[in-house]
Amino acid sequence: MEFFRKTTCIDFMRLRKHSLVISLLLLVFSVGSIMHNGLRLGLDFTGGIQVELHFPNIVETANIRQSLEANNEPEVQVQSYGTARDILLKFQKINKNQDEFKQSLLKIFPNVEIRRIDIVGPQIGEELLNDGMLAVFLSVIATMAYIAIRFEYRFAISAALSLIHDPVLILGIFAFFKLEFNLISLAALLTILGYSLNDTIVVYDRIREAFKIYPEKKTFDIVNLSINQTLSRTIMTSGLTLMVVLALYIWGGPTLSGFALALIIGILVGTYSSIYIAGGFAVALGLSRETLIKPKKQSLAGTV
Amino acid sequence: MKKSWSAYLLVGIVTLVSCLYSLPNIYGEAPAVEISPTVGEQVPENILNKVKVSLKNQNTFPETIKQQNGKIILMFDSPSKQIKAKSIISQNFNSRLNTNLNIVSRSPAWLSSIGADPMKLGLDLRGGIHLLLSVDINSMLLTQAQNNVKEIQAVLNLKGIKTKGIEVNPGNSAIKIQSQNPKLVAKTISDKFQNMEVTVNNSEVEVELGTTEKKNISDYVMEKTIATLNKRVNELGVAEAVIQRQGFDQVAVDLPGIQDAARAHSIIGKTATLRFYLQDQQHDPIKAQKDGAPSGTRLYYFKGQPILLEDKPILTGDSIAYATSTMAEGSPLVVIRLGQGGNAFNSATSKNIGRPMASVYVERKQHINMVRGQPILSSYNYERIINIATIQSALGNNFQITGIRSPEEASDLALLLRSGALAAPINIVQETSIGPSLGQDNINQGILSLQIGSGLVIIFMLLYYRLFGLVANLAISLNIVMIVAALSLIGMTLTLPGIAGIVLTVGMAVDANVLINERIREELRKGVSGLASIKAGYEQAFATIVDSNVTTLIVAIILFALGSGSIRGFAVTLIIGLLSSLFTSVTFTRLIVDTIYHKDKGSNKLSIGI
Repeated sequence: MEFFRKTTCIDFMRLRKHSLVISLLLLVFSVGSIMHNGLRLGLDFTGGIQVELHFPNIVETANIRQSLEANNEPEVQVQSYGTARDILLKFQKINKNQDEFKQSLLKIFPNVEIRRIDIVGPQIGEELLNDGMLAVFLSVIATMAYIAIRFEYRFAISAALSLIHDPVLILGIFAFFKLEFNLISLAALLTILGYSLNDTIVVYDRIREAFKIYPEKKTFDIVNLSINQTLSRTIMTSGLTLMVVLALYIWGGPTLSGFALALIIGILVGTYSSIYIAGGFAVALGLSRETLIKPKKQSLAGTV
Repeated sequence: MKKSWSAYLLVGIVTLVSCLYSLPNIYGEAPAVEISPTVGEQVPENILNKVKVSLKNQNTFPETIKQQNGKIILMFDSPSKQIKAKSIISQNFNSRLNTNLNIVSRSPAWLSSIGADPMKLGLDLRGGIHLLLSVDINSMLLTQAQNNVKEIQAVLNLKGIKTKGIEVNPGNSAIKIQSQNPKLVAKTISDKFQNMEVTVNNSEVEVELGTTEKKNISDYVMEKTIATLNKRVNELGVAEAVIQRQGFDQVAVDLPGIQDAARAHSIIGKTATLRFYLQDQQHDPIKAQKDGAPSGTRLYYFKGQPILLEDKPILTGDSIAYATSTMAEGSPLVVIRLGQGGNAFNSATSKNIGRPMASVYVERKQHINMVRGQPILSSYNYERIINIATIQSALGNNFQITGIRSPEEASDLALLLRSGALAAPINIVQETSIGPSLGQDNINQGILSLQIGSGLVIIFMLLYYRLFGLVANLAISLNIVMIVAALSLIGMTLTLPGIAGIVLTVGMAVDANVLINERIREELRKGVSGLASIKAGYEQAFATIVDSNVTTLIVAIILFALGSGSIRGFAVTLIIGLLSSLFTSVTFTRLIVDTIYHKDKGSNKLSIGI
């Protein structure tokens, strides 16, 4: 079975200016969503109390909210979680400890099963947010350094630019659909930073090899050729990882859904950015044979 | 190409070891009751028989009985039997036996003897309580600074050096001294106290503890806090509790499978102790209600009446070596035995015969304050006089406290006194409580998504790459087994994100095989022979495989370093998975492929789907 019987001959590089425009549009859309809707941060970052309840019968969130309000717990978010019998409660203010909380909830809903309670103090949330941003920053620096060492600096800069796509777009989509972004989603985002470079590196490897094999071709054509040659591999591996992550999203349960979604978005965006941004920018920045393959030093025998 | 025996040996050993060390996980776990003797090393045979008889009579006979380290472990086939058994044994054998609830692996003993134990399951998979405690090291540093102030004053007085004022900055525990002759003050202090840093700003001298000194105090406080928490958790009878330092000033406490959440929370979270104060009989407590307590005293209330106590205790919880609770004539009381400080207490009480002495219960509580619109967790001391008794005679090392409100309060107080005071105040900054049913659901969902995810990949590889796909699938299976074995060996806890990491690794690891197979196909299309294609495919792809995994590894390592708890669990499975996939996707598959195709020399026909 083959999907790619012959090596494709798509002229990717000709469209690179178009792709740049598309990228900019996507970035603007993302930043716009974030600024307009705001990013819904999860409990880990904001602090507060979160309770997972499981009822013996199907329940309506409106009824739950009414019962809570009637019992002086007005500032609470109620949402459905997983199945029709599961409810997630979110309280901003922490004014009781765990046991008092359990007791008061059991009084209001006598038959409920309290599956999980999370209480996060406000200072912890801030610490985690700072650690998260540090992790993103370090990841970008570390991976840029790795590419600069393995290839050369133009590649590193282009790779870094393509890297920025992924987290911004992930956050933009989370903001647009008002999805909750919590600690595990951040872990997924960081994983994508590392993972989407895979495709980029494979393309760069091919480009370097192609420069050696085809000394007469222009840079433009070399980059095009390399992308085409690796296209089958890029699409297949992204497809396989995507399959696996979809399994996580559908069957992994509500806790992992934010994580899986960030991965899905990241894989799709990452594949696109590896192809266009990484290659296109390198060309734009003046990639050429000479920059990639250091010229051989004149041997003594040759000068005689 | 015929492979050397060493290659087969290596692969064989790795496969065997991985299978062996991942085996314990298949056996599952059983709810259990652990019995240990209250006195002596082992449970006496006759007691054990009596236990068995009473359990059999009530239809709660255990499925298996094991002996381990002097403890007897009774394993049951359901949690309800486990709980019933515990209450039967506690009721009938309370004085002779300690009983604990625990979850125990069903894997056979021979596996344990080679160090093969099942993976530890995180709280999100097992249920339990997680507490993150923030240790108030600053208050220790502040206390130290205040002690230092006294010493500094003494030294300066001795040399006749006058100062305009000495105060301690509560923010950074720095001592500030105003003086007309700051240089002289600075020199005197730094000569006498080597471990302090002295700086002069205009007419102010600032004295701070040296950085090594601060670090020593911090480390000491954290170690002592963790040791005390360990004792408390042992008293609770929670097996497999994990107490770890997290970061600079935090302690993470994991209590898996605990069934009495409320009690655990109050024992761990509570900082309570006893202090004894002599009553101040020189001033008028009613006047103090209006005007404030005179210096050297503090105002308390007992049974509704105001009372003044001296503000320096004659005995604190530090001096209590041992405490138990008991009942006498229907009232609960706490029996106390002193350790160090017994002599001082003895002389203090002998000097004050006839004076009333108050036993004060001191508990540290937390509440939320709104500071500039932000909620801040802060703590305060809650003090309550338990009892006031007149000193009849010099009190020795053993005495009793009465006036306690309930038997539970007595036993809790005794437990807290036994395990010692915490070295520094602690605040609970984060807590999570997960019920066991959620834990089981998470396990089920995690495993289901792993099965479906791997299943899809396996089917695809088989259809697309035929025989080469089958080999890749064998590699995937081995990879999963290797990850499980590694986690079991290093004792890392498996969490739900950890399972997600395993699923992700399956998707990423197959990348390598796709690379190799696509290269082989390229060579075949060019007309290269079968065996040569294999060689070219593996060699050319290898560098790219390593390269592409390195970047994900870099990020996983950063996640591991900066993350904690379940995030760290995810990073670990990702790292292990990627590293082991280098072995399974390349070395392992190469060996198999070469074994299959070495006979057909010069053949162009490879079952690779084209």
